[in-house]
Amino acid sequence: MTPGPLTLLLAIPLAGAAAAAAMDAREERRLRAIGLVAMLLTFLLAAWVWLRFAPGVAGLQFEERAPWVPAVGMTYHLGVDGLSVSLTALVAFLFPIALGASAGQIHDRVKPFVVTLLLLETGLLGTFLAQDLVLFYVFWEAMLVPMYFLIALWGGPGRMRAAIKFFLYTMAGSVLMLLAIIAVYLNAARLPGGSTFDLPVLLTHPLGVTGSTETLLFLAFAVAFAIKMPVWPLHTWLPDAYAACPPVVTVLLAGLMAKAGAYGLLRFCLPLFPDASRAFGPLLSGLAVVGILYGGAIAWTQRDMRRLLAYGSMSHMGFILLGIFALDATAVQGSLIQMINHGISTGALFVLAGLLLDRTGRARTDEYGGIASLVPAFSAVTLIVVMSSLALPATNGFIGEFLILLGTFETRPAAAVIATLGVVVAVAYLLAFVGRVFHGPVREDLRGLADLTPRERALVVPLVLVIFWTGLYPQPLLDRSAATVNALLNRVAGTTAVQPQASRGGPPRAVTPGSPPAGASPTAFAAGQGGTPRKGR
Amino acid sequence: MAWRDLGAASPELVLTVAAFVVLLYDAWMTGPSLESPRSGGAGWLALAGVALALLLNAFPPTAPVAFAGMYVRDRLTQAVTLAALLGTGITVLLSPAYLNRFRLPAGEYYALVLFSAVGAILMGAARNLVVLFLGLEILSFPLYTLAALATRSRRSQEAGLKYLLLGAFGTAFFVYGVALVYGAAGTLDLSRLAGVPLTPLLGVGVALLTIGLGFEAALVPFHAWAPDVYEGAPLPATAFMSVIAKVGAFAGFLRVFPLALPAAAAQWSAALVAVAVVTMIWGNLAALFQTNLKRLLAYSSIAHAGYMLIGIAAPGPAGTLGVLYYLVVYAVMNLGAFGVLILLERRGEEADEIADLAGLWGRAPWAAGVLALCMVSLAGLPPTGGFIAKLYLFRAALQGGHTTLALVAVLTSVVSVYYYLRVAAAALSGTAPDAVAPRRSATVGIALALAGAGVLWFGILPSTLTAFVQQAVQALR
Repeated sequence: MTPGPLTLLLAIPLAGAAAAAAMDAREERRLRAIGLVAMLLTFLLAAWVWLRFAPGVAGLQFEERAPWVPAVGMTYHLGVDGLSVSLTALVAFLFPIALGASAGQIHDRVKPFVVTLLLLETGLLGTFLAQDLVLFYVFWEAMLVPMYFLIALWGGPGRMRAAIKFFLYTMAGSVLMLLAIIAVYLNAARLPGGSTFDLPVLLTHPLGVTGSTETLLFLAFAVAFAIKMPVWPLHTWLPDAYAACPPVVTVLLAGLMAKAGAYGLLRFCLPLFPDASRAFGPLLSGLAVVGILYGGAIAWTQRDMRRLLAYGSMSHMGFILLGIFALDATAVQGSLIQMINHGISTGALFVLAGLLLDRTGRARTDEYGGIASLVPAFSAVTLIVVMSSLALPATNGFIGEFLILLGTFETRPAAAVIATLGVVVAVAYLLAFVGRVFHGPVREDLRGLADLTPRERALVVPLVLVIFWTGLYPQPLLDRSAATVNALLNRVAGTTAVQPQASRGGPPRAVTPGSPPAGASPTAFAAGQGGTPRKGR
Repeated sequence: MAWRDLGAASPELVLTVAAFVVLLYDAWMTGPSLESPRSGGAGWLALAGVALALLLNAFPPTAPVAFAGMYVRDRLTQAVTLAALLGTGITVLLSPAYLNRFRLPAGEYYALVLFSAVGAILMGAARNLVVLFLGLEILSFPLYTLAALATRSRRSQEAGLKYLLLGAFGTAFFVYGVALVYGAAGTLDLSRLAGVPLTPLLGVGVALLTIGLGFEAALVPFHAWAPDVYEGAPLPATAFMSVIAKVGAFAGFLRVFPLALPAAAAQWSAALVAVAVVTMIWGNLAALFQTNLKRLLAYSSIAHAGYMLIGIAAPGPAGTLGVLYYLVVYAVMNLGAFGVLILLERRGEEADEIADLAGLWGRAPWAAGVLALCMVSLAGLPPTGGFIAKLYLFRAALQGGHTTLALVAVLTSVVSVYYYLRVAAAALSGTAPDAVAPRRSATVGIALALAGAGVLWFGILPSTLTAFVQQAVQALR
């Protein structure tokens, strides 16, 4: 099998890491340059995949499948569909920005920093691309290790404790998911496909788990993802980790890793355990609402800039969870859009907070005041990003939260109404933040504060552009996810008895055990093989 | 005895001959000066022996069953031999720098290492309880001596004595177990035990066998010797015994339990599950509080014995596959971790505290990287061999319906991450203490490169090794 674009997507950052590892540690500029080149190449490829992705197709595109460990039913299976294609692009988009923003923050051990960052990018991309349960788990856990080192080696005060707390917390969730993965695999032995970890093959037949078994398996998966998002009350690792991280790493932690949790719910929990997803929908929606209000309220009381943004981020993640478990196409679409938005907006907020911290070293909001007149460009950009976080119309945030609330109102009106209060709370804490930092009397000791340098402008301008582009013309994003979301929800609702793709015609086909040829898989998008997807609908 | 029998046992024979050649070479080179030669000749001879044995191991013999049915070289033996030889080969590469630095007698050292490897392989090839006992003795006696090899160090002497006394105690249990099994079954042939009805006498005999093997594998509650012996023995000897004793003991477990006594699964499975649970919990919890790296790795090795026991307690092909895969991966990752310690020196002594690792990144970046990689693998995180190995064992546990066992295993794995990552983070951060100096050594560098590559290979491309051990498992059914 010749490696396709998705394998290349994983290979480029990995090759960049290898190249950086082979270099002299003292050549810091060249190390950063190599990292940046690898990340930009990755982004170009991801953008190409995103553009070539055929909207209106529910199944996987750019599929690659090769035996990995045939003796145990593990396959190297990559693919993107409507759930993952935009998230993949988001990952590739944010990494170069994070590396660029690190120039002012990371001064020691640049070489391991660049290498670790590239390994983290590989892990994250793999998480969104993998279609085999073990392959997914490998990437899912593998991205924890670089993240641990990023916090533990380059973080601020309390970094060791925060790093290990983050790691143990998330790993405790994921090992239970590992057991559930194995249980799903063993359970599939009774199915015509035989024991396999290949997700699309597993989904060709109902899993056949019911009752308490399904509940337990669902919970094992859901808790792992909920910790990562994080969902209240599993969030207690978050403030420590976000505050101890170097700000650029927070960009990745909040902007991307949180999305991996939400994505996992959509990719695995919903299709594998439709009954349990429906049964737990109200509970999880309730937790989402609590998280929205709780995160917002705590954010309001915070004086530490990063803790404020961390709780704010958690509050916004609540909307995403709410949209997912509304189990309504509009709401899930909104959640997917909101994942992108949250990555952009929260990422941008942490980038800006990092720039401010680099300049002043002050973390508390009450140590600032009136800097709007000192750094006009910086203030303008911050205001735009804050508006996007507030879901102001014409920015990206509005589209996402509006769709989520609209869809949720259809299925869970009470939750939607209460969640709307969360929008108000967000206004309160974010505007309070802006007021304290940017307005009011100018503090004399901040007189020399420098505005955005050209390099920093290059970092924030793309973020601002995406904010407005998504806000004004979200259709390309919605088009890409619509078909997959509909198929997914049909599956959860049980309207298609056997498989989500039944509407595309053809009876469910039995898959021969061990070696399902890619073309014979009902989920395989035949025309997408080799990167020549059908255009249009 | 025919030539064919010798052909079947050719890897063991090659190692034995190599051991004698090493001894003779050493005696010749030492001559009347009584000062051990400082050249690495003995090491290279030992390495050549290991390489030749590895080569011979790749070819299955024409007649696997040899020596009147007491010995068998089947796929399982081959897998065990692979693990033992990988461990031995890496140990031989790790040792020369240390032996020179501390003036340990190289000839005796390498000969003992080779003899011990023969014992472990023999346990994997045992088709008869007497051969199993023979293997156990050949495995452990050189280890007692290796622990006490640093004659000028009181710690080393104490370690050797402790190991000898407790090891002899464990062996006594084993041999008494052999006697009882013979009394109950009327045979020592493992292939015939399956048909014997389970009488109380046989049960007691099997329990005593388990205790004997449990001592060797350092399972709780038979683990008490391990931390002290690991701490006191010279570093390369500690590294070697941590691997080879596990290989031998688990080869023995495989030969006795899933293979010889499959029918009585229900009776012994519950007991082994209990031992595995206690071992995983105790080993990991005790390791949390260690500041000395040798003690930490000792408790870690106890914990790993607990994980491997899952594959015995959850019988069936999946369990056997898991144990064999784990043994190979464990040999590589554990020796990689020890290898980095061998490079360090604190004022003419071993640098074996976690604090000694600080700042290693700045002085020896590749060694620090391999250490971090091996720690990640020991913790069972992807993308390393340690993860795949644990995955196979968890699969075996769940397949056998041992949900509690699997739960304890994954939760203790989470605990273990705490101390493994603490070690890794120590090596990658901080400033180096003045007293500690990393030494340079080409052979250690090669060994570390091999270990690092192995850990990644078994983690990212596990299919080759999986297929190899899969054959071993299928051949037994």
